[in-house]
Amino acid sequence: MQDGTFFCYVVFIFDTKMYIMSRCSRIILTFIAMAHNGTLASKQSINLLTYYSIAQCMFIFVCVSCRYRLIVYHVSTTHVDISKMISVKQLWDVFVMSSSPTTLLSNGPQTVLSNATNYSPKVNELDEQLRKYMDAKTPAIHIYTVKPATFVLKYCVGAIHT
Amino acid sequence: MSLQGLFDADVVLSDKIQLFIKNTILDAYPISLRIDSVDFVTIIYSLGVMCYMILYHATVNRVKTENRNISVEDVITINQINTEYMLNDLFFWLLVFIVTFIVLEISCPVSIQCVSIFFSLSFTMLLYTTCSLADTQLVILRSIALFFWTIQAITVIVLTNASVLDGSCILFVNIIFGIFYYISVIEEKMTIIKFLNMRAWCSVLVNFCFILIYINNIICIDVIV
Repeated sequence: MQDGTFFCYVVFIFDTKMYIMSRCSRIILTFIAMAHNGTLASKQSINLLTYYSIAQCMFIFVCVSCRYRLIVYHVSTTHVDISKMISVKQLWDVFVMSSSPTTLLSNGPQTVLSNATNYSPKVNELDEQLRKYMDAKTPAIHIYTVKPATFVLKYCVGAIHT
Repeated sequence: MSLQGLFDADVVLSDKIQLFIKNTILDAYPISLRIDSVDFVTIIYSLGVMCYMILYHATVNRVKTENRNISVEDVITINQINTEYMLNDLFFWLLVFIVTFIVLEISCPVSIQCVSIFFSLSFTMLLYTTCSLADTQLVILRSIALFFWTIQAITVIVLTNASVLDGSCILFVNIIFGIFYYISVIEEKMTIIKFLNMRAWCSVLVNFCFILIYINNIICIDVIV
């Protein structure tokens, strides 16, 4: 019963859409025909256009004066300072240094890159985050391609501790 | 670490690192959200349509009454478009630009003003190029311009996430511009009166669709305290 009702509903929507589309296309074709036979260029039509343009202007003015507003959300970026963000290269360098067997990450709270290569102070924080992941023995990063199951970057925590 | 096939790599960081990176980007690009209105541009546009019709009347009367060898039924030349009727033409395309900008601003849930300006400018320029090339023999260039304009017109409908009524009106605006292009193509001998009428009707029909979008989106801010 429900399927039948749904089917009727779909047919009704489809018929309505087709009806609206056929009416719209008929209006458009009529309009093109009127453009061809010169009806749109008659004096009455032109007067109609002029009166309409005045009426719409008055309508907008009345709406605005009656406190009807077109409210929108605007997003803007101000005072952009790219030194506050970590570039992808910095991120990758920290990750590579952290996962390298020669790094001192496991020996204490020293930073890996931030003091050595003029990197942002934010790198310290990232070092800390990576260190936590290494201690927890969970992968901090995955790399997927088109086939996610095939290409997974494995994080070898054991190699770092040796 | 074992890596195989890094083409189109999608790097997913752990949650905390992802959050950390996101925060650094937000620090670098502070986003401010403000509630604004586009009433001023709307009034300018509305006045513009009225002024355009006055200009249209003045132009037609001038051609009809002047004692020159020009009649409104004469075929318009490129030289005339670039001299006598340039103001008319430019005014029309300016109205197209403004209405596209306002419709984009209204239809998008959240808008970035400079992006809307750029998008509407590019939309208008593409349509202008497409219609300007209509009477030339540059078929390939004409097709490319039409193709890119169509892509942009569809993009407006898809990306704005407009409601059913707004989306339908935007669709009709695009259909009106499509008819405008169609008439520009099929009219081999574009007369002065057709040139002027086509622009006048197009601006009024687009304005009618705009009024529908306007009515659908206005909010009364009369708050009784």
